[in-house]
Amino acid sequence: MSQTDPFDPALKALLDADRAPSLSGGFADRVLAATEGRAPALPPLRRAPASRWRSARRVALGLGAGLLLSSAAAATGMLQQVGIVLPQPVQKIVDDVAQKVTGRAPVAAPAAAPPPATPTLPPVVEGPIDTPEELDTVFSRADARRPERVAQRRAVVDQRIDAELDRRRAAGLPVPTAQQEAALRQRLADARARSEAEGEERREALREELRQTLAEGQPLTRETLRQAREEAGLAPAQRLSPEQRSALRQRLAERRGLALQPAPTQTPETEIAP
Amino acid sequence: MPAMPAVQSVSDFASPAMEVGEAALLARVAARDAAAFRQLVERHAATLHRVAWRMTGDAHEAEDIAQEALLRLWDHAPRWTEGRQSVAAWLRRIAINLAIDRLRRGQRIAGGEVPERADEAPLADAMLEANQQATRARALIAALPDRQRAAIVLTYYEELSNAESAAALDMQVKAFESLLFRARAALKAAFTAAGDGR
Repeated sequence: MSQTDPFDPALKALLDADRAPSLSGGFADRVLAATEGRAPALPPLRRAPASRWRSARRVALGLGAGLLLSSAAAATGMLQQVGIVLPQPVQKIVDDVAQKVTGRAPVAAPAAAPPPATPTLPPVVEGPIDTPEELDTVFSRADARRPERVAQRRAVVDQRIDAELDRRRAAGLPVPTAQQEAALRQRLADARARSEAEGEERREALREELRQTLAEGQPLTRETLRQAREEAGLAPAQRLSPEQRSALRQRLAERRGLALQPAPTQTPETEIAP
Repeated sequence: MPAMPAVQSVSDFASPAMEVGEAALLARVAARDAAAFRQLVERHAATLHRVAWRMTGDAHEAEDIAQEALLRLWDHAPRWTEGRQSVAAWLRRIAINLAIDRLRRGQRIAGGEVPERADEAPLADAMLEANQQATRARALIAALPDRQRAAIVLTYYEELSNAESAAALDMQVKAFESLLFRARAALKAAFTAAGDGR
């Protein structure tokens, strides 16, 4: 037994006392006899585990395929479209290789749009608003966030219009001609401008009321602001209950001096902050 | 070393020259040369039988395992990949796996207990009765879990290196070292608990 056995002498003596029996006589003859007429072994049911070479080859092939795909993506400008910009030397190598392979000049990717400027928002006013400065901070914050929200809503509306046009084209339904579509979009733009002007007017009136309330010594809470927005028709219509929407339509119609009309199919765009 | 000197195999520590000889023998076995196969049987049978006996504690079972391992070598010879491992290591691995399989099958049949079968050979029986030490040693080894038992058999009784033993158990060396550590600790604890360690 080995010199580095960790067992103490008593245990070693005990283990060594156990001696293995010898093979019975004629063992080799029996094994050889058993080979007679033995059916050949079946092929392995499963492939042997991959050798290192096979694994390395797979890794190399995978890397090569990935390299080719990424090179193709880089050469066609796809990477830049998704915002991945390669270092200049790497891009040059890719362009050279792509030109040699395809015989065409590399596709110049459209200049990546500059990231939208993130406005620096004024801080959130914690707790009730009880000074004119805090109220101005709230207004500034709402003003800073408004352009982004307006743009998002307009994008959604444009997307819906495009989707509806596509659906009608696919279904073989009549669609407006280019002139009609341009006129419709112009009407929509006019309605938007009108809505924004009205909203701006209502917003300024509301702000004046709030300043007055504050000047009278009544602190403003978030709940006060929310109710004031709803009453002035400046809250997002999606957040209102059906009754509130109906009341809102009534108030707006009365303010415009118009008779109450059936519910419009499209919700007017409203600003969400005073 | 408690193994019987008359049947001690030297193939476990095969030299390059011996490996070359074994490669030639295997090539002949692949061509179904019975004489070459007999040489391999005579060279490896004792080791296989010894390992299997220490694993199962049953001489007949051990002979079955040794024979099955050698017959698998006969079957496998045409597909033998030269240089991957020695014939001895390959056979050892087969024998250990067969032994563990049979032990587990026995545990399933016996409801968790390894049957303590008496050796039917009158001579061995007499030897066991005469040698209480050997009986206690076998009880200690048999009480170990299968793979821990294999670790002790391979490293202590067969004097294999950790790397060779790990290969026989199809384990990484580090994992085998952990197994061996646990096996030795369990063996010592059982020895002490039996009152032999005092």
